[in-house]
Amino acid sequence: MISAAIMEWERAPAVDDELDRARRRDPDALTALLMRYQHRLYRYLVRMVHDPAAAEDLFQQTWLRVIEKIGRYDPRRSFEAWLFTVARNLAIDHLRRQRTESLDDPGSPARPPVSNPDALERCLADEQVRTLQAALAELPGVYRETVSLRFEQDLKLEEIAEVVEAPLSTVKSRLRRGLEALRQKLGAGFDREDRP
Amino acid sequence: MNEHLEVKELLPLAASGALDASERRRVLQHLAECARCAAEERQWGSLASALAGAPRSQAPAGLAERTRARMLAALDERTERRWNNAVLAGLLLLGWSMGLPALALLRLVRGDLPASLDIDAAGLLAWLAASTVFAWITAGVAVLLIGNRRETVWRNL
Repeated sequence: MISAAIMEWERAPAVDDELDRARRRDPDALTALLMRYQHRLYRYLVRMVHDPAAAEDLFQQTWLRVIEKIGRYDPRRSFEAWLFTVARNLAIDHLRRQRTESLDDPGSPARPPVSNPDALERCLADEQVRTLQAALAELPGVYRETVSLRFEQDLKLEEIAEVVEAPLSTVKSRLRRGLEALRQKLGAGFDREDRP
Repeated sequence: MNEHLEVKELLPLAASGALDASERRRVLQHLAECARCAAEERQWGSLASALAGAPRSQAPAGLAERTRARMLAALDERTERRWNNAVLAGLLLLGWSMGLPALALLRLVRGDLPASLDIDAAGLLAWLAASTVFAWITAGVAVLLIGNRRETVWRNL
């Protein structure tokens, strides 16, 4: 119950007054935004860079960049989309420096489907959740990002398009391909009919 | 591509709540008539539910507090930078305003002074104007350099 309330608070849009004060770089308003978005932003960065330590560093850089740029934030836009765009640009810079992964590279072809008819049952337990998380982590960057923004950050498609600076049709295509690749990795047993 | 294949492609998006109204109607209409697609749709729904319901990790304890401390320090730095820039601008303005009385004073004495120094009054004025302009340009360049340096420091925070 409490966690549900926290999730609801996390998802709640920042009130206009708070954003107005944040745009004037009011420390209390900026702190309130930091507290409100800390978990979602951190999750997103971990999902992007696969490295908790780097995600922590990028998290801090994101908020410093927010201070620098918030005066130019257009209040007619979604603050969440703007915030995730700032974080995404920093994460991309980080990945470029790492030179190990590119978000624009769809990556190697997906592996052959795993033959596992009990995938759904396994996903209901902790170990199985890890399976899902691992499969998600193995997705190529562009797909992983889109799936994460939709299902973990609860962003609307229009907001995702704003974050990734791509047309809505591209976002839909990435989401579809990402889910197809994810399902392929998990095998064919993901059927709700198997659930009790 | 026939209707069946087209709708099949839309099923992952349907499970993600990513279809517009007309696409949704089309999918629902097809699902009512196609058992295979209906089964497929349930599988996509199952995957979407698992993704949406997966436990969500939290930011490490203390990360928000550390970030907040850095934010406040950056805000202080920013305030100081703005204050320094204002001071520099004020000094520039002061230097400019100091030049004006000097010019007036020179005009007051230029009747005798240029003659005794054997300097042409027009030449003296030109020299004074050039000196003043040079001083302004120097001050302006200094302001730009200092501002640029501070901008670099700010970005590297």
